[in-house]
This record gives sequence, C-alpha cells and structure tokens, in this order.
Amino acid sequence: MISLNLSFPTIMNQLLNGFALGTLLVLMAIGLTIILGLMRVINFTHGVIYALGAYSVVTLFNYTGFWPCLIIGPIVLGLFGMGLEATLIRPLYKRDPLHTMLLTFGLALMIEDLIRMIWGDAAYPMSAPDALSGIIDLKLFIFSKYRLFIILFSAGLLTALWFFFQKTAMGKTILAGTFDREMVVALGIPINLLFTITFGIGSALAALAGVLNAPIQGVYPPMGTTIIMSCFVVVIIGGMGSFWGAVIGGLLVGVVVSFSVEVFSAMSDVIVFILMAVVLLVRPRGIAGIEGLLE
Amino acid sequence: MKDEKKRVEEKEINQGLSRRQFLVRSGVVAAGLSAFQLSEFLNAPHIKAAGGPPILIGNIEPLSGPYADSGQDEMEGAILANEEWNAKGGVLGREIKMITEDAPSNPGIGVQKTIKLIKKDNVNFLTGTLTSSVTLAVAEEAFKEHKLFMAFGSHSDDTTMQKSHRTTFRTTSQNWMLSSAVGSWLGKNWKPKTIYHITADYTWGHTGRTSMNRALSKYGCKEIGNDFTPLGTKDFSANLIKARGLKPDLLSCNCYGSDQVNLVKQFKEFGLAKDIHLCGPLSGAPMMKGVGPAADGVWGLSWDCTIDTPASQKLRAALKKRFAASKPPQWDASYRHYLGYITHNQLFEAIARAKTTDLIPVIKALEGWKFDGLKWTPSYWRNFDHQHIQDVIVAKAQYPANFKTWADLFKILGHLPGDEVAPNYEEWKKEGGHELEPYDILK
Repeated sequence: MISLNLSFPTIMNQLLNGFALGTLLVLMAIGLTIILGLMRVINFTHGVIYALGAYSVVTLFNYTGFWPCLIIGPIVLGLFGMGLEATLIRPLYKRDPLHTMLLTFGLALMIEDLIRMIWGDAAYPMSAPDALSGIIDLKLFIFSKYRLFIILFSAGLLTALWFFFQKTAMGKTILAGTFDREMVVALGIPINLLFTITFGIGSALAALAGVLNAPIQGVYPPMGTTIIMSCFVVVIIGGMGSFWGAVIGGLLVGVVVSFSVEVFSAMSDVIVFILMAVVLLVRPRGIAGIEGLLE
Repeated sequence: MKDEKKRVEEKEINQGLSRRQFLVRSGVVAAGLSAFQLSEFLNAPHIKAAGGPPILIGNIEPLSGPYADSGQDEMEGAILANEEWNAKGGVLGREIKMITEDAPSNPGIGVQKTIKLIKKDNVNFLTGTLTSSVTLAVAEEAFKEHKLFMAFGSHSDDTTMQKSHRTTFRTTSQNWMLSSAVGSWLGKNWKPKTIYHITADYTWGHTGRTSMNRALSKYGCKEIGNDFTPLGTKDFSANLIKARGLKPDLLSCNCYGSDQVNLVKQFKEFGLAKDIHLCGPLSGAPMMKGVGPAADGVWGLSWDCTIDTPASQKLRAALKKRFAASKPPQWDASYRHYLGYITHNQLFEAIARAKTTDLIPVIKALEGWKFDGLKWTPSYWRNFDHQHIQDVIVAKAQYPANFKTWADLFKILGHLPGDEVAPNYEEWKKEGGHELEPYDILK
C-alpha cells in the first residue's frame, strides 16, 4: 500500500533507523570486502561466523551477561577464522578463486548444520542489556536506546579501524595489498601471515555484528545465510575491496530499506536489488570499487 | 577401441576388491542387516497389539523455522494422547503409532512429506500442520488421496471456508472466530477509531487482517494502513516508525511465531506502547515466553493453561507430568499442546465409535459430534465446514513483576461461545464457503 506521511520527525526517525540497520551491514561488509580485495576469496563462511557470533550470546549470556560477549565472541571467532584460513583456505590460493568460493560455501552449509545440532532448530529471542533497553527521547522523536548505541559503538569502531588501516604499518600493508598484492609480495612481506590476520579481523567483525544483532533480531540457525546476500549487495554497491565503499554501501542500503517501508512497503524487499542494478549501470565497479579486482 | 576402454574401466573398478574380500564383506553386511531386521521384528508393536496392525498416524509439524516452538508443542500434545490411548490398549485393540515429519512453513515441503507419509509409510490418517499455507497444501493432497486430515493449528479462514474439503477437519479457532472475540472486546473497552496492520504476507496473515477489520468495523474502527511483511521477517523497525507517524489507536500484529516475538519486542523497543494499543488475532505462550518482559497486547486464544475447568487442569497436569522434566523450570503447557492432544483424542474416539479406520465412517462419526472441549461450554464439529466450534478466549499478554512460569504470560479478559463468534452458514456462504464434497466421491 502506498502511503505518504512524510513529516520531518518521521523522515529523521527513518533516517536514523536506516543508519542503525546499515551499520550492522557495514561491519559485515568491511570484513567481506577486505578479504575479497586482499585475498581474492569470496568468503561464504562470513555469514555463519556472524551467526556463531550471535550464538555466542546465547551460550555466554547466562554466565557473563551481554557486555563480555562483545569481546569474547569476536576474539574466539576471530581466532577460529584464522585457523580456518591457515588450514583449509590457504592450500587453495594457487587455484582458481572459484575453488575457495566452493570451499567456503561448503563450510558454511556444514557450520549451519552444526549450529542446528548444537543449539537446535528453534529461534532464541534475546534481549538488550538492561542499561540499553527502552527508549531515548531525542526531542524531535523517540528512538531505541540500543539501536542508538549500535550506531555510536560501530562509528567508534570504524574510526579505530580506519586509523588502523591508515596509521599502522600492518594496516597500511593490508590496505596496500588490496590495491596491489604482487607488489606487497615483491617487497618481501610475509603474505601468509598478513592473510591470516586479515581473515581473523574480518571474522571478528562479522562475529561482532552477530553479537550486536542478537538482541534485535533474535538468534536462529539460517541467520548467516539470510544476511550474507545483503552483505554481497553492499559490497557490490560500495565497490569490491573498498573500505569506504563498504561504509557508504551499508549505510545507503539501510537508509533505502527504511524509507522504502515508509513510502511503499511492498517494495522493501526488492529495493536493494534495484539500487544495486542502478549503481552497476552507472558505475560498474560500484561506488568506490578498486580497479582490476576480479576483472 | 570402445570395448578396450570399457574393459580397462572394468578392470580398474574390480582391482580394488578381490572376490574373496567381496564375499566376506557382503556376508558381514548381510548378517548385520538381518540381525537388525530381527531386532526390529521382535520389537515391532504388532506383536504386542491384540486387535491387528497398528493404526498409523502421519503427523506433519514445523519443527524448524520461525514456527518451530509451536510445532514442538503440538507434537508433544499428540504424543500424550497417543500414549494415553496405548496405555488403555490402543484403539479397537490396535496400537497407535505416529510418524512425525518436519515441514518448516513451506507448502512444497508439506506436500512432499504428505506424499511420503501416504505412499511410503501407508499411514491411515494425517494430522498436524501449523502454517496455514502448508495446511492448505496438505489438505489438497489428502483429499486427492482420500485420507482424513485433521489440522491442528491452521487459523486461516479458508481452511474450512473457501478451500474446505470433506476430508479436512480443523481443531483450532479460525481467524474469523478469534478476531470477532478480540474485536468485540476492543470495541467495547477501548473504543478505537483507527487501526494499522502489520501482516504476514500469506493466507493466514491476510485473513487475520480482513477478519480484524470486519470485527472492528462494527464499532466504527477503520483501517488506516497495512504493511505486508514476508514470513520470517526479523526487523519491523521501519514499519513501526511508519505506524507511529500515522498515529492509529490500534496496531494489529497479524504475524505469528518468531515474527510476532520480534514485532512485539520492537513495539516496546521503539516506545509505541505510550500512544498505541497492540492487538492481534492470535498469540500464545510459544511467542510470549520469547518476548519476556516486553509482553504486551490483547490477543485471541483457543486455549490457555490457566483455564479453570477441571478438564483443562487435568490436561495441564498430565502434560506437566509427561514433559516438564525435559523443560526449563518456567515451562508450562501451551494452547498448541491442547490442539495436538484434543485432535488426536477426537480422532481416536471417532475411530472407536465407527469401529473401523475406514474413511467415510470415521468422517461421519466426527461430523456434528458434541464433546467436552475442556473449556466452559461444549464443543462440536460443525457439519457444513468441519470447523471445531468452541469457546474463544480474549487475553492480555503480560509479564508480571512476580513472574514465575509461562502460565503467567496471559491474563484471560473474557471468553465467548463459539457459535457467537464463528461465521454462520449465510456469512460462510457469502465469503465463498466451499460446500463439502459428497461422500460418494471418496469411495
């Protein structure tokens, strides 16, 4: 049904809500896009690591409460990602990128089944920590405290990540690697270690997105498969391999989804794909895509 | 050349296994299989049963996906009924065996599982289902294959209206009944003028919305907006912000399962409860236990474990005795347990009355049959649409400060007798009610 009631508070409310939806996609997409840019790996395990992040809340919540999950989940799953890269993915680098894609796709299916075996098929509804439950009055409109926290927390984290990539030697090397991997290798940098660390960072970010999303969406087995599609759309819109591309792409998708519900809710499922098609028509490499990547 | 290649291939295949090895291995496998079959034979129930082969019930439930919690409860209710009857010596002296198949809210899978149960397992009867789209698909297949299908859970009106069949019976209250009860309570108590819907985009959600509108229009309440959301939607934030902008008196959640859990939680998360009343045609403990402290809204229910009739409390105690040990401490029976239990009971009683498992006599034994639905007034299976006519409950979802068990999740506000809230024949016909097929067609 088409309905238009675009008062200023509603517009601002939907905009902020779009940011909240988008920042989680940004966290997911950054890991995905950097792994893709540096390692040429189309990583389908990204979604299940996000799911495992959410399940870490299910398991840990009764022992530790919510806050420690924000640290424990990403660290454990970051290490898990590093192990995955070092043992299973590394032997396939010399082969066609299709092979690593098939490997990660298979792993994703297996891990999702493993999740069902461990935690069962039913969904676990989770709640935001007490300090962040309820609403905050922003004068113009009221908003969910927890979602505002997600926006601020993610913004802080992204700033830290940006500093890491811009100001630290390792970060710079990773970023340089996404532009010109051969050159990084030629300079004698231990590329295997760099790959493992990158995979670890990407996995930790995905797990963090899972932890953050658990109180909003609940925790259920196919959650990783559900989100991975949106993440690839964000990466394609933002441009493969680009940090800022992932940020802009994620926020754009969040805001567009939020507004499409407001204006024409029946379109909200397909609108991101229309957006993707439009971006690809105008800028085939996405908004900030790196030249030469998978081309 | 070709023959040469084939020979080489055969040689390669045979190389891995000598004739002796082959004989030894196949011998071991055969011995293992026959031992397994022997133990199956010794354990087989027909050895124990007196009056013939077991009566096979094919039970289809969503045991995964957004409705998994409800599916589990329905299955447990059915198991309890089966066990009670088996303890009494079965039905007509025959043991009851149930085969449960998982069909997670997907009509295609529902049909596949139905065909498997009918053709491969040779079940005598079909029961279960929860998602209305699956129910309708199973009902079509059951009618085609001349099998009696007793639907536990489907609440979509069309299951016993536009798409009714002689072979389908529905235990739960249809949306029309639930919404009439909820609508009349809301209309009388809150006098709303406007309603906004968030509707699961399939048959149950659609009829939930139209039923709520029909019931509330009698009190001058008008729809001012509706969003269809796909089954399995996790985030309703944008819909809720939109609804708040339109300032309705009521927000109707025509979603079930984990969709409803998320919607109700987010209703609180975004602070809508301050200005808008939440309501919906259907809820229950499988949802509100997940919503927890954010529990809210006025809903329709077919049963609740706090119903104070001795029969309901007896069922609750039996369910507790059978299942509570494997559940969390706050566990209590849900209306889905009731649906599974009462349906299987009704089916077995009908078989006992008909003295056969043949289709037509069992259908005739059910039609028009009056029985104790464990609630306040007697229940019956209505002749013209096979709907279970029963008391419908209006209840408020809550999470009291002294919350102890899931029994605390709903406070019963009132209940109405089924005949008052169900569509009568004229209304049913006007909505395109499908006359049940003649019996001859099933011969």
